[in-house]
Amino acid sequence: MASIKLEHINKTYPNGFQAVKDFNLEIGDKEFIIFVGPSGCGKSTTLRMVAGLEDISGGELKIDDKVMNDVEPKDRDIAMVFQNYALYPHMTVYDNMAFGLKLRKTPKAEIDKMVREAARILDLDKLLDRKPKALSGGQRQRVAMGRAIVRDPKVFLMDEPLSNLDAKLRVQMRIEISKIHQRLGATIIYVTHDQTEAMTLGTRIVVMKDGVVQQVDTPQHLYNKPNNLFVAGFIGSPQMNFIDAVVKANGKDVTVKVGDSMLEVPASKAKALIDSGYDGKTVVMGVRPEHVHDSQMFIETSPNSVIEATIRVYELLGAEVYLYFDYAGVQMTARVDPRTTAKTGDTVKFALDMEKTHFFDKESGLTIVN
Amino acid sequence: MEQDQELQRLLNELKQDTGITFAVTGECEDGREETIAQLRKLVKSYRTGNNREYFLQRVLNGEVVSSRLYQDAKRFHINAGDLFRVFYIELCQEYDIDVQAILKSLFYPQTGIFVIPMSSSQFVILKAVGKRNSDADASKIAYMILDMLNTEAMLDARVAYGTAAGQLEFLQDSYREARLAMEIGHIFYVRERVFAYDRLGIGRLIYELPVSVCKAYVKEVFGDNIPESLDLETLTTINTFFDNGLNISETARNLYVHRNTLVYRLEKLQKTIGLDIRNFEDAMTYKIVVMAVDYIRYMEKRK
Repeated sequence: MASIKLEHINKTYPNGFQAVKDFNLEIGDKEFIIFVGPSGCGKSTTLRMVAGLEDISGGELKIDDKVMNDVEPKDRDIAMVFQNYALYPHMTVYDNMAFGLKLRKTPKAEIDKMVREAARILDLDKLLDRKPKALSGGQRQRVAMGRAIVRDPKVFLMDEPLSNLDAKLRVQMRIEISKIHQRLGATIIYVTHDQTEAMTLGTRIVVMKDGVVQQVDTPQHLYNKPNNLFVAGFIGSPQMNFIDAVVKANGKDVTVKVGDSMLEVPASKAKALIDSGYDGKTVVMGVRPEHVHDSQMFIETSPNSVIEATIRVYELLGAEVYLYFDYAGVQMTARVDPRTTAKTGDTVKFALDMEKTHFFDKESGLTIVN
Repeated sequence: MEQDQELQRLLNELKQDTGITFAVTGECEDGREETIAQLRKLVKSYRTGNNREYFLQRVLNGEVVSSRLYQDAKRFHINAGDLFRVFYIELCQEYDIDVQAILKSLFYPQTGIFVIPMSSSQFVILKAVGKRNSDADASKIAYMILDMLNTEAMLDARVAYGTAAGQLEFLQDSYREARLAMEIGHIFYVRERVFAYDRLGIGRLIYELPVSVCKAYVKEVFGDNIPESLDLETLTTINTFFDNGLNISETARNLYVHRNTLVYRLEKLQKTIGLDIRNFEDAMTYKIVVMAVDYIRYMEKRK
């Protein structure tokens, strides 16, 4: 397989619009890298530059230390799986996977070997004689992946391959793709706008916004230690709660005024707030829904981090309940146990787990402390 | 000697194409050249006359007279009663793979689909569609063609499509629409790869204007100082603001910034370009003048 280096990659269109700005990334052999971000952030454009389907305006792309900027897609030793794939309706599974190789005049014996090996990896061996109309959605998706696997590329590039599938099939195929990655031992670059897909599939995730890389990290680090407000809000579902907080230091002790409440900040975070000069200033406090507790035990053990609010919406998801409420002019979400007795219209107390809060600079959005 | 070989070659080709054995008699030297020329014409005429792709190329280019159109369409098994949509494909890179085979295989064995090479880098797919065929259906097909060219042929491409043509005479109009959509896409929608003729928006309007009119408008708005290219953050802010219908709250949410940050950016923009895009009139003016500038640059480059 292969290592990939993107060094100061830029993409500027003729009208001056800069879609990707100073993109730097090193992808190791066998890594499963995810590019994630909102629509228009430059993730697909970056992928297409790696593929050679889009010119690189500036910077260097290297695959296995060879500069690829001016190399045609067919010579880059890559294979692609894109969103709007189609199978050749009149061809069997075998022929669907073999067709690209036949067009490239690959010898028959080699085609047979490649197709059967790909079919084995994808559990399609018993379906080789079937036509697409006799396949399920998941099987068709696997055939589309098989077309890429038979090329035996150094790198697989996938652009939202699951976007056209229904929710249930998407979940199933995520597992399949993960298994395929393990079986192939392949280097994969995967683009998605779905942060859940990103978190479950990637070894590392590149979060992008406005053509700029916001953070490159493992899923766990992105979740626990976001670099800025955008990453904190984008990763995690439901989204992190953000609320303005005024920092008040009293010696080494720090409290934050949130709405009408004064919440005690733990020592480790307090020091960071004081040392960074935020005493008396307004910052943005972030707290994930699962760290907003309505249980009596939490409320009693954390009396200095309690707020009170009226529940606007109660949403039962089976294994958990989401409670939506307004506090200090902000809509917030709590993810609580389904045994909660809270209901819509109730005024309840919530304890915020201050050890798990994040603080962000209000102007720049950068993280002060996680 | 060479002439004899050429003569024999042409006779063999004619036999292959027609199944008829032709013979040339007579010994006049001067006559040989003329005979070869006539045989060449005969081969070409037979091939082009019996070639469906060539016929459809001529139909799309408006080169077939109405009186022959339906007659020849019948000969080539083209159902004149079908509603057709023209998908015009431009390949953006050199290639050494049978692109036509890929395109044909995508739809085979459906009837009413014809893949026509218009040049080495341009293809047309003529597809019979049902009366209920919507723009969404056409868009889906266009994106499918694009993704297949990207992944199977490993080629960058653009796809444009016109409105559906209910009669064969209107195919040339549909083709013209698709090509126009492609050109307008090149000028105004550079990030896109699929262009629909009836969704070109204001791009089509500006394209129809004389360059002089566009220049006068740009001068009216900006005077002699067209603003330097705006930075990415500003451009993204503007585009997102427009996408969210000039709604500040929604835009701030989509940009993951505070409302006040967004207002600050818009006020800064107003100082730079003299237009407050929070105001509908100014937003419209900004949008149009930027497109006019792109159009002027494109036309000047084309010269």
